[in-house]
Amino acid sequence: MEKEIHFKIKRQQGPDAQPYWEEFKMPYAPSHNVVSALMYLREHPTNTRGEKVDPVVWDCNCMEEVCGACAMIVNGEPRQACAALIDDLEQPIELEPLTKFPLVRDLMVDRQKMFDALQQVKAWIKVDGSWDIHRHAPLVSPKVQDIRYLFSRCMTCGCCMEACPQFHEGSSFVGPAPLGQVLLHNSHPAGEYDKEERLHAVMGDGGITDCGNAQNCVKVCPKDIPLTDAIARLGRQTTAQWLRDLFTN
Amino acid sequence: MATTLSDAKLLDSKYPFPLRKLHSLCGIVPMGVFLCEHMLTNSMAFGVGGAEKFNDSVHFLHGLPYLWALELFGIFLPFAFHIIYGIVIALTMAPNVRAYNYVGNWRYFFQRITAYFAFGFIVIHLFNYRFAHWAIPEKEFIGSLNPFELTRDGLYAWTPFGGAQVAAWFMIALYWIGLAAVCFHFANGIWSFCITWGIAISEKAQRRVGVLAAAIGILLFLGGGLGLVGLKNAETQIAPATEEAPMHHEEAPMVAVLEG
Repeated sequence: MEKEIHFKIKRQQGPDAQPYWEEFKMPYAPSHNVVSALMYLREHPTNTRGEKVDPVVWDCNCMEEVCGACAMIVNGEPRQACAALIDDLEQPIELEPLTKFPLVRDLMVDRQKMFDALQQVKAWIKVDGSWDIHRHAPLVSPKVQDIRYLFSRCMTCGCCMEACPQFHEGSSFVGPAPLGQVLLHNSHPAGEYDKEERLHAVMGDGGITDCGNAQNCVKVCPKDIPLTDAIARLGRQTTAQWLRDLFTN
Repeated sequence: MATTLSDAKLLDSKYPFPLRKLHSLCGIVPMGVFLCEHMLTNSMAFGVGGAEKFNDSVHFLHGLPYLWALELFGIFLPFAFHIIYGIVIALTMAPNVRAYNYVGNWRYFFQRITAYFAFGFIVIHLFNYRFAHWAIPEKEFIGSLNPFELTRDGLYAWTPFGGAQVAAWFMIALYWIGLAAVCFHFANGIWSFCITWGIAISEKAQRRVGVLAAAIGILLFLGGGLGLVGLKNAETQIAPATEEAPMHHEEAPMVAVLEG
């Protein structure tokens, strides 16, 4: 028998349409990943019942697990479709869209919520001017660099939020990833100037106190970012900030 | 209750940080401290002479100065706050233990389930003993001559509001499960307290704190369990003392209570 790749895809024509499962089979070729297989199906959009259907819609960009765009649920696990190699997956391969973000169509979701959260926690560093300041860049010890590198790998894919039982439509929680970014920017020599503003942002509604310590985030993060470590560190920083607010300022 | 919850929700979105900090602190001090004391006292009921030791401990507690204030500010108000605000927090859970079958996720889930169970259990427990005299005046626990017997009565012959008796097997099961739920909730609470207050940071540190918290939970469960076993085997525990001088041991502390 000829080898095949068998997909079971959860489809939905639009945000308010009813979801349904559709199966597709395509000839096997070595080294396929889920995105490249979906590209093949886009050219041959015929389901297992022989019907020609609308091609499956999904989001992707970099194809090397650094942009976060192709996050979806592959065989029950939230991950990047481009890094999900067909040879490593059990068939039929079940694809579902992320459930914690507004659905656009099929496997494509609106990820705006995550970028709003990054804004909410002020996850950026203010430039010190576009002119020459006649100074070297501030030194960062290799140890701090190593820790910052871990958090700098975050690609805002949303897997941690998908797995988090505290992150959902009814809650204002920003999710684990933005908290990791607060730690990243607080540990930057120039970012440190706005540490207090960032801490106050995560001490507000939807901030760090919404974390319930289920610790699913760290289990599913495709980049192995120590998110629970970040949340505990932020726990210490925010507690100290709170005491400073109460007794110093 | 509904308005209390929505008020609490509004307060939560306005002052989440100090309220959550107070909520977790409250669970350790005074609630956790009270639980330790409670289980220690309960464990006294076990072994030969357990009845007297238990009664002496209870009489000592009931003889503490400003007992009403200790009870109000050390027990009732912190419990009310922790429970009402805890429900607001627990309601924000969207459980997903089946999809994400991790130990941590189950722990998170059980922290909330045991909270609901413990809440119901504690309410029953209060009407079982502390407020039993609202229905039957003779069952007044504070200041009673023989709290050991009263405790046994509450377990094996409880007649809520003077009505029909609740089956003993049901009460025993309720107390064992309630005890387990409370001990788990407290132990896991110590662990998450250490994380949210920034005491345990790294994965290793969190594991160390977890082991310590689990040990405390198990010890408390054993303490409470000894109490339940002691109450069950009451005959063997009272026998030697009651035959000689049944009222002797119980009278002296009672006088102290009255004087205090």
